[in-house]
Amino acid sequence: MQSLNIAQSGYGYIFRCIGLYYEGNIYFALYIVSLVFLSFAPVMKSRIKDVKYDRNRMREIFLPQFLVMALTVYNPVFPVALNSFFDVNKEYYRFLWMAPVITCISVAGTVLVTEYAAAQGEGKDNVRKGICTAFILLILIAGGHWLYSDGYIVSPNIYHVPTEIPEVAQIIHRDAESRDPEDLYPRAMMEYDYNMIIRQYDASILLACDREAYIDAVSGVLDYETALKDENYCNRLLAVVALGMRIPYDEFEKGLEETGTGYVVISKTNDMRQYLEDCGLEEVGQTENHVVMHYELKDYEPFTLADYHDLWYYNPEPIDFLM
Amino acid sequence: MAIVQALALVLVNIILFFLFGCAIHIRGISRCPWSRRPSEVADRGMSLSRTVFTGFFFYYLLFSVCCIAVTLKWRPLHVLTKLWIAVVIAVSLIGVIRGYALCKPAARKAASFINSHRPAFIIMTLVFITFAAIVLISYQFTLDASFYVGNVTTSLQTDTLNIYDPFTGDWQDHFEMRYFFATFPMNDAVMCSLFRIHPLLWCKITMSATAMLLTFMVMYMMGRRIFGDDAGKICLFLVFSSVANFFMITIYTTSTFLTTRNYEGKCLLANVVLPGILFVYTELLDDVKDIRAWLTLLLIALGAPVLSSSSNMLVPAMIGVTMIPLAFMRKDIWVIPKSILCMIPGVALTGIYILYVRNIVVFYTYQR
Repeated sequence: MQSLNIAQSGYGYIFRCIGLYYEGNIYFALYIVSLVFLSFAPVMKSRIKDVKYDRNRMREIFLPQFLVMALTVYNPVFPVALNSFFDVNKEYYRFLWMAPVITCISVAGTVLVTEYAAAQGEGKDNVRKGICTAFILLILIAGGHWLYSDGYIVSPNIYHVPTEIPEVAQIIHRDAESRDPEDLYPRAMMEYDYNMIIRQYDASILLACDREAYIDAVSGVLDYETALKDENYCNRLLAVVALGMRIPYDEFEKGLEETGTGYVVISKTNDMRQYLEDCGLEEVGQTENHVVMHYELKDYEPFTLADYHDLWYYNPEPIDFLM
Repeated sequence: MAIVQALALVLVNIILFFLFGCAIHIRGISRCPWSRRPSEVADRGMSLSRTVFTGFFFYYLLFSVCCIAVTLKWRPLHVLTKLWIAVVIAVSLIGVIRGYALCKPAARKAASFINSHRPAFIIMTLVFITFAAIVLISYQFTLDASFYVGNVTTSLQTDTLNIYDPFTGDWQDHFEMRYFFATFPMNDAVMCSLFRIHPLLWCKITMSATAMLLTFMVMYMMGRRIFGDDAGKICLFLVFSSVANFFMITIYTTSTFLTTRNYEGKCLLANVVLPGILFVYTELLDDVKDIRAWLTLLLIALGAPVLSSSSNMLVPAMIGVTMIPLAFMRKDIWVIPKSILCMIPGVALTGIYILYVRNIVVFYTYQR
């Protein structure tokens, strides 16, 4: 978990970790209730003649694992001790995957419906089972956080990327090849979403900034001074394109030159368009919502793939999968 | 047309897993064949779903062996593709030969079971199709796709294996050890190259659907273990688990990985591998000396690190939390050494990663 630190949280870490893991839903509580129900619920033989489920078997399947996890994974001392050997700050929450939460809850729900809600007489039996099923579904729904609570977005195309991504890629390649037919790998700087997506669609477009640098920038780590002081020139591009900082023009140009970035893609609503034009970038194309701008790099050498010919004994040809 | 191809490839994946499973299928044996004790052989026959399950791990284990060998020699992706075609053909042939006799009774049994519980199976199928359709049609923006899908696209573009940085496209002077043994994305690249399909289609449709199908299959297998032949209960169990998977959502949960990041190996780790270990545990509860169950556990331990490097810590941990109580409950001390043996692959790979972090073991991408 990025937002939690074991050293700072100490023995309280596991509780915060569980809290964040199940934030906004009651599934951990449901898991405990299901576990207790499956392990200890009395078999109500007085009401139904043939309760079939084997409580001892259920107990053997789910309870021992939970007990061992209670002593280890859920033990407040464990993450602190583990962190002294390995840095598990980001990954500790994955230990919580071991608890069979969905399985246990679903088994408990099924047992409740089929064994405890059953009644004599077919009509009565179905009604009681139906009501019980509806009640359990209601708990699962009301007690959770719906995956599409922010709205269900239908994928705009079969590639599951914004429709303008292929258009942006096409504009960049067309322009790069018109300037230098050997420039098969132009480098670009884009806004957050496009920077994360473009290379999934077209890996022949190189990027100036990697994911971590971008996340650091948008999460507030990058400020004006750092953007200029840092020898990592990608920060200058991030400062302008991602954060809208008006750093001196020559500093931004230096960023473009040092990273070999010839293209900047911004949305039409981005306030920095004028700034980019003032830096010498010119528009080479646009899509419905984005503008592709080009910067003429001095002493630009097109990117080429590393030469493994001596090892491969063949001439590699990239495979064209694009639309 | 491309979407039909992508969906048809889900079937190809399942058939391959099944054939790989047939190739290594062993009958359920209660006692070790070389034991001096009176042998109690309980042949439980072949289970189609269990064969796909074991075949899945065997498939990725074999792939990883081929991939690591090719990667260490800096050979290109197309060499790995050719090698993998040869391996797939060889293993599939063995699978067909071995499976031919075994499949008939298993398929007959399965067909008869489905026929006698038709309404329940119709509902299960509808639940799965609805679940998969909702997920596959939706648009999800996830940060990790920039690595996992980006890595596949980059490998295809450059015809290399793990040499270029998926985030930027720049050349790397050494292999990132965190992902070196987790060759799952390289299998995606090989399959894209083999079937001439765009990585986005393969990852976000074919592998997403495959991951959901495998998850449902493992849940179904758990349902069979818990509720036996009562298809109605298994159906209700799957309905509850499907609904729960749409609602147990934060950015960390197994359900989130199943519904939004299902093209990643981590999704398979959380939703197939870990429940799969629980499934094997239920088999061992019935017979702690079941050789087939122990070999399956070992296969999971060997195959899981290919899916995600997180397996290196989670699989040994899951084996620990399930098998330690088993040893006490069944009062069998031999459970401990067998479990430790199954933990070795994960622990060893963790050790190699620690050596890498301390700069002791580094694999370079060029000849030094």
